[in-house]
Amino acid sequence: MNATDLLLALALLLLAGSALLARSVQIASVLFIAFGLLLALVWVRLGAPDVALAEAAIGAGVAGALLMLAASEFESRRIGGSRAAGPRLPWPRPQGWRPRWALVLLALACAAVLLLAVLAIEPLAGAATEAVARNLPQSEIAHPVTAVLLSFRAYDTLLEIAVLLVAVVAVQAAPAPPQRALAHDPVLARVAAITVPLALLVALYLLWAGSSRSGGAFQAGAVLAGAVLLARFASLPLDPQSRLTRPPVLALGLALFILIGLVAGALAGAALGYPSGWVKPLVLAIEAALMVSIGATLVALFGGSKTA
Amino acid sequence: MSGVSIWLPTGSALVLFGLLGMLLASSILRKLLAFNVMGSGIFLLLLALRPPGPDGVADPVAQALIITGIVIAIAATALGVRLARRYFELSGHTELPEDRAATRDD
Amino acid sequence: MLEALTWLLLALAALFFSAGTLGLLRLPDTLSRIHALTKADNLGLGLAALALLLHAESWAAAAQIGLIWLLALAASATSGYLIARRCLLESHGTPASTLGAPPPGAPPT
Repeated sequence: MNATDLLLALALLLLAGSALLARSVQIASVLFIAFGLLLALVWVRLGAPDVALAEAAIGAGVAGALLMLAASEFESRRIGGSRAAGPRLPWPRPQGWRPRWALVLLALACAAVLLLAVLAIEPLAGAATEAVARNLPQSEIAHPVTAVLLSFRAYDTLLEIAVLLVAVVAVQAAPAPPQRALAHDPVLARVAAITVPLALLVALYLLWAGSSRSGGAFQAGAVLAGAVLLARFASLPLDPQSRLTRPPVLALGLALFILIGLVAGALAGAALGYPSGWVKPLVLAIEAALMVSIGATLVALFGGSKTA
Repeated sequence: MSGVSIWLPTGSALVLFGLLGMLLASSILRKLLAFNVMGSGIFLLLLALRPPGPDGVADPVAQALIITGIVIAIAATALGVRLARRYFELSGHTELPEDRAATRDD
Repeated sequence: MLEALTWLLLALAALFFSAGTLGLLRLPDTLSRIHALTKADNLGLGLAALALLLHAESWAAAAQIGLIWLLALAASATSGYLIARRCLLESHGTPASTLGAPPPGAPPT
């Protein structure tokens, strides 16, 4: 246990506590983004750069931005004066009571049990790492994490993409939230004109690097989503958002993954397997499709219906 | 106890904070925030139980699991935020009825 | 010698970051806070980047560090500007969203 880790751990807990106790949800969202970024540092400290990339992009960036967007919307409508103009919800107000002290004790008990349980586990250094390292040459993928995600446990990744698709279908089911017209800002437009292509380049690089280093479809998709959203906020003349959040683009990743999984799997003898020698291009194709779909999904999750 | 990673109690503490936040917070958005903090705590526990190998890189299976977990948590959070916004559009409230009643009785 | 220089630069960077945060916490209004934060943080980041440059393995890595610093500079300057503009508009009573028409050629949102 060294001083850096201790400081990081304390700072992490302090940020989490501040975020949860902040006086307004907007402040809480900002603190939460800071918490996510510090957590990304902790991941690096624990030797997990892939997770750090995903945490910074998705965990801190997207989650924080989503919460902040909703919080600002609630705040502005409340200040604006007019509250609900729509129909009240039909279910009756329940007459419940909840003593807070019982809940606090319950939470403390759960956390105590959890801590005792994890302390009792012997940290198994290296068992899975060795297994992965042994089978890595057979998978023909250079980077262990990518190999696990797209070869050894490709089924998990497949289902994960399906979950994302279900979430975006559910989000798009409701009518589009009322969108304020965004003012055109020349400074933002100029900066975005430089930054958006650069971000696209970074996304493509992360996609390419994923085959041999840290990176991959999820991180690339998150950067792609950021670029598209920035283009939208800057009111750049090209409006990719409406074309991007259409169902074909959203489903592209899952569809291609299943297609390649079945076809290549038939050739290789097992579903979601790859025939030898074809691994690199197939995995790259799957990851590219995933990147586009994940980017489109994250953009669509920011609110908007099928037509927005 | 000298070999115990500091991240085990840290992760547990984050789970505690998240749990308390979800149970006690009034606004839906705060609950979602607490849910994310709790998720991060669990991910931390996952990786804390797998110390980095000799070359300093952490267990790839744990890393893959956590990346998957982060993406799923985002999907759930996004759906939760959308539902919260829709609820706000329809009812004008940012809290569920039972939480509004609870804060009044406190 | 290199070690000492790196430590010095990092310590200075930490000092600037702390100064910026102090400004964030203690200054009265948003505009002065933005001023303190963007100036101090950018300089702090520059010093930290300089410290890392001394340890870069190659010219390419050094160029990447420099590029990161430039991008962070651009991002913080832009977001500082946007926040300040919003502040100014709200203090004059104009809701920021009604200012300016969408540029020609942009599809309606």
